[in-house]
Amino acid sequence: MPLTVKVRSFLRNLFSTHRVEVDLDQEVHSHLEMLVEENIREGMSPKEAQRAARIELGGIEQVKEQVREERIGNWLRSAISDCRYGVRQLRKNPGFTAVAVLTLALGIGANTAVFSVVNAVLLKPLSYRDPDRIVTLSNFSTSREAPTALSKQVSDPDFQDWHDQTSSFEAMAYYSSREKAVVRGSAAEYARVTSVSPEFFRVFGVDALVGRSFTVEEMKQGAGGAAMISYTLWQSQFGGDPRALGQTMLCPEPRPIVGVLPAGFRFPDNTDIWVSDVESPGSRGGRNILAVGRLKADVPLKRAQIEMTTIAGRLEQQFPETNRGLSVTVTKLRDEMVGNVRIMLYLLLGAVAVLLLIACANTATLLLSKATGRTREVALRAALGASRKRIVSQLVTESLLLAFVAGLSGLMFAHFGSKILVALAPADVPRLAETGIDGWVLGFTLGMSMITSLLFGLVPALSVSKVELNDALKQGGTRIATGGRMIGIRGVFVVAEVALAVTLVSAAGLLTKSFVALHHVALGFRPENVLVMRATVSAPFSVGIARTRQFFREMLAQVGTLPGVLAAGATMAPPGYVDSRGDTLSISCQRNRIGVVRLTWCFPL
Amino acid sequence: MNSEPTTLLQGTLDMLILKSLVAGEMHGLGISRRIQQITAGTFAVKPGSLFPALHRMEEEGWISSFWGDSENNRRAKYYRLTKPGQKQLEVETKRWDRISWAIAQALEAS
Repeated sequence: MPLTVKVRSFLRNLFSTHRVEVDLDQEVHSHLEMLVEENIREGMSPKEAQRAARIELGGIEQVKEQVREERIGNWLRSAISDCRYGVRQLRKNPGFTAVAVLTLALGIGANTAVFSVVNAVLLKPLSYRDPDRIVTLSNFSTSREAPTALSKQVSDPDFQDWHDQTSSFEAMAYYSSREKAVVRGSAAEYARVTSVSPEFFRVFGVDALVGRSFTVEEMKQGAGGAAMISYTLWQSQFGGDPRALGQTMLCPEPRPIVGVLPAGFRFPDNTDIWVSDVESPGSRGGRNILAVGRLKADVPLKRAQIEMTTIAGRLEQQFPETNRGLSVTVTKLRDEMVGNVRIMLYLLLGAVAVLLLIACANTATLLLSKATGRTREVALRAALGASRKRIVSQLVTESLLLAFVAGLSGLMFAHFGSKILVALAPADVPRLAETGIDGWVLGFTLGMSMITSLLFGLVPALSVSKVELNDALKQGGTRIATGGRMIGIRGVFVVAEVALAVTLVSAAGLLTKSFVALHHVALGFRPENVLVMRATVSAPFSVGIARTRQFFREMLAQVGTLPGVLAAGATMAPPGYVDSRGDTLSISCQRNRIGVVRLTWCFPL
Repeated sequence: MNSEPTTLLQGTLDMLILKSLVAGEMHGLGISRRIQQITAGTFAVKPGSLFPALHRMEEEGWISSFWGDSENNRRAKYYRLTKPGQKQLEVETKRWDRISWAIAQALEAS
């Protein structure tokens, strides 16, 4: 029963406000009159009786307000009236409102823009099935060599041993990827071709959208192999025609197309064509493939890591020549993809957060100076029985409104801002293209607006609501009774603002300095006037070497004769460019491995 | 505004109001005088505390109200105890007994 009573009271308070108010008014008045009668009975004069009764009652309006605050659902009623009043206040001061909204919108917009990037790159789960179970397995040197993109690569025999000895993985696969000229019919085109081992698609939990996956037969060493293509390539090259299946591509060995993968699957690095790896395994020292795996459902990353470390330790003992100082690290695919970008993005997020704090301090200062003009209004409300809580909540509601409007405008800024960010960002930031405004970003903006409103609204609200009734009402006009204190608070804001701004500017300066320094690093060669172009010769391995030699010899000769060309040469990998097919060479000194160098081929010698 | 001769413990005012209504229905002033009487003048409940408490308790369903005529034929709002109110009074009384016993024990301990 009490619940129904409560609900009824709630609805009555909300909808029959007038009746409830009249009732309350009559009750308080009847109480007052009874007090007067009581006093007269005790022998007071009517006038005295009135006075004494009023003193005992303590103010009709105040009593009524106290009752109102106790009512069920009072918060809703006051919230609605606060909102109405707030909107009126903001409308009345369009100049102030515009400046405050613009300041905050810039701050919130910048935060939302950066967050939308952080969300896309760092937070969103990868769009594979159970993405948290997909890991990369990479080599790392237990001696002091710094890890590079290349040192993570694995050799065929090592991979086979990992694959056969582990029990933590549902599937484990390797791949190696590069851009090649692919010939179909009479046209040649650059495409990213990734050669993969049997379990590759099982690791990602994808299957062919059209056609089928590789068969065991097509995966066999020395077999003819087959190719699968990306949805994008299927659309652009074949117009989505199912007859693409069965056609042959030279990549560079001739491969029949057997399947199309679903849209969105382009691992790794926007691959267009996946081919089954039918090459015979290389040497244990030739590390040029990358390994990925899918953990079994009940195996935590840590256990897989422990097992892999054990296996690597065993291989190290078994093959000291090639594996000394090598171990394996198991990393979640997302963490591996994101890598260093994480720090950069968090740094950026920190910077825009500071920016928002500055905007908050700015708005708070504005509000404070406006607030000094409102002392009288607040004092009047207090005199009519509004509690301090009530006044503060009214002022905070106003800030909340301001922040919401700013949040909405901020979203607009963010929409364009995130596009600019994406355009400015380096091309190798993974998943950047997925940046957009989704539910998470909207939630972030909403939360940001609310926190912001408290940040800039609470201090002014608290300070204004602390009025000395007498002074404030007496002084009249907009003269300030609490001026001294408010100027003090404003000083604090200014100091905070300057401190934050100095921090931000010096951090930006340091970053710029590092950037400039990076551009002046000595490369060991003179990059000025050097042009790079890429060329591959599409031919099966058997005839490839001779043809490639022939092709480059002729091409370099022709390029060399072009006016303005001083010299022309060829290399597998230009300096500063990481190529997954470079070779490694261990340098040993009396059987101790002291380092690994990368080799690449150049022409002419 | 909330200054009684003796500051009331949280919940004690509710208990006193419920207790004063056991004798029968009463209007606000009556309740206030009755509390003064049964506490031998220790507690004088001012309207600023009384009315919010009455309205809150009515919304809780412990008391109900109706308009009636006072002793001097004046219209006044009367309050009466409900079933949940009686139960609440029992709960409050037990709680109060426990507290007062505990405090008495604490003060007697040397």
